[in-house]
Amino acid sequence: MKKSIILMLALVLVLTWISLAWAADTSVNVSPDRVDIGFNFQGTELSILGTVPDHARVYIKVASPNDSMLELNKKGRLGFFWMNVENVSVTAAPKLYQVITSDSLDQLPGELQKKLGLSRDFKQIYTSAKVYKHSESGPVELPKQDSDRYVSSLINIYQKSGLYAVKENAVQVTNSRFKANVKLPPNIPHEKCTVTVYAVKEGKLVGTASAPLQVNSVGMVKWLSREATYDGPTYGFIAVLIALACGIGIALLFSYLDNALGGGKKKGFNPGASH
Amino acid sequence: MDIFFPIARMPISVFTILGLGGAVGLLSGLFGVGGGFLMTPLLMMLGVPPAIAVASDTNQIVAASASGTLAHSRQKNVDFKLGFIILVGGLVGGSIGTVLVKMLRSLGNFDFVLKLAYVVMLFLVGTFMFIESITALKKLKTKEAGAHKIKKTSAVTRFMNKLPMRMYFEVSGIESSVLALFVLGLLIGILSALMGVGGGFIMLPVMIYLIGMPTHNAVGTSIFVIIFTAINVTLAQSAINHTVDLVLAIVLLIGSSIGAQFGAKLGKKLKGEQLRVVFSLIVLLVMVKILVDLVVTPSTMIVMGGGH
Repeated sequence: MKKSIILMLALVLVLTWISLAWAADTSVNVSPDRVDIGFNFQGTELSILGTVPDHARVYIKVASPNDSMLELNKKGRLGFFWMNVENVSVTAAPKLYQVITSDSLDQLPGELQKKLGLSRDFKQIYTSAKVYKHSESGPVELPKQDSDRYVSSLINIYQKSGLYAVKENAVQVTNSRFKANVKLPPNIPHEKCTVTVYAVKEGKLVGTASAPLQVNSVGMVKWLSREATYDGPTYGFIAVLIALACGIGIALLFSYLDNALGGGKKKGFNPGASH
Repeated sequence: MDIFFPIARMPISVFTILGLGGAVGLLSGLFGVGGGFLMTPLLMMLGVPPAIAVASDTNQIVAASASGTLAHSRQKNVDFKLGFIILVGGLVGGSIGTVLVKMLRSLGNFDFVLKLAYVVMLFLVGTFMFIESITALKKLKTKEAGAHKIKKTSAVTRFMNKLPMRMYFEVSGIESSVLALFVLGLLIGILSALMGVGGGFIMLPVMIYLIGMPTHNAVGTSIFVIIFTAINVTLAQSAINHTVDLVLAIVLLIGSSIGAQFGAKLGKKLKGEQLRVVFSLIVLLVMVKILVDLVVTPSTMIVMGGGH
């Protein structure tokens, strides 16, 4: 009886050790693990460290949830003139999408690229994104062949602002440790993003690990963006009051300065009254 | 020194924004226009999303026009009584215009027709003002301006004089029909709702040529009316689109209300005719800009939405 208990315990211990060792094979650590956005925010750089099984290739994905919304206008020709001919919104695409790899993406089998959402031309965005055309009777979803042009423009716009990027051969791997730096632009979405690491060996996925990255606005920036979004009328009212106060304040300041500098000589004298 | 703007979600140098505000405020103080036609594209060039550029600019115009109105009222240029009547017409016209926009949109190609109409109108107004003010300037040189000018405007004012409910406006020194002023305000309101502009460009020529106000009074009164249009639009943008960046607007408006002060002072140094020449040139410049936007092949066919 005693023997079997010891044997059981030993087995449990061994199993735990094995599973721990397995889990420790792929791990990731992001620093900083949260980004605070205040008035002095200029973008930030993440340092991603971790471990993968020996000789594995490393693919890292930094992405926000699929919930961005972007309005796009298509220009078209009418006679001699270029006009906005179609207005759409693109939804269900992430606003942040960066892929950083230790090797060329060509090394990754196509099927795995598709499954993990790692590709040079952002294929997975085309699959997830939905494009709605604005019309009098409400939004209408565009068929695939029409929506692709808009999605590709969205990717272009996000790439230009640094939200979307693919950087191959940018992860340093030594033995089983890896290291990478990721630049995040100032306009990153304020939400819970995820850093996911895929370890791939001989075309097979051998480990996955992920870490959250909380992006928050803080202080006045937080208050203002919340007010603007959730309490538009009050916010507008405050905006108008501040504008009026500033305009009147500056006008009074100037009239005070005028009087102080010009002495008392300008009473009722108006040289501009020449009509 | 860069600041992160919370709604535009990007850092921009404070000094760039201050300078931009100052330059546009100067125009606004000089001519009684809002200056959105200039500010919005400049902000977009800095990378501000179009919808946010438009809305934050409107908020800024509230400050610039308040500052400009006070500066002009010190010089007794603002005809509050007349401005108020136009304003009432303008608010009614604005509501009619909004409904009209909805109806026209359903007919399709609305924006196209509108932009074209705007170009034609700016061209006509700009050219007319330019020729008129140049002739007036020449006549001024030969020292016999006054008499001729009154004769010239009398053709239009004769009709206006026949309209009922006449009232005397001490500040501008003119007599005009309240009904006519209300209808002109209505027209300005409808047009500015249709064009999506503040209305300064339409208001100044209407005040000078149709109502017969002296140029300086027209500038001062126009900027007074614009305060209310801008307040109205700022509230609507905040409530419906959530696109007003208050911090961006504050930095802009510090620049623009200072600029508006200098604009009003500079305007004092210019004669009415000179002011009209420069204004007509700006009107023509805006027309050319819109026309170029319409005709030149865009570099990208799909762009971020939300602008004018």
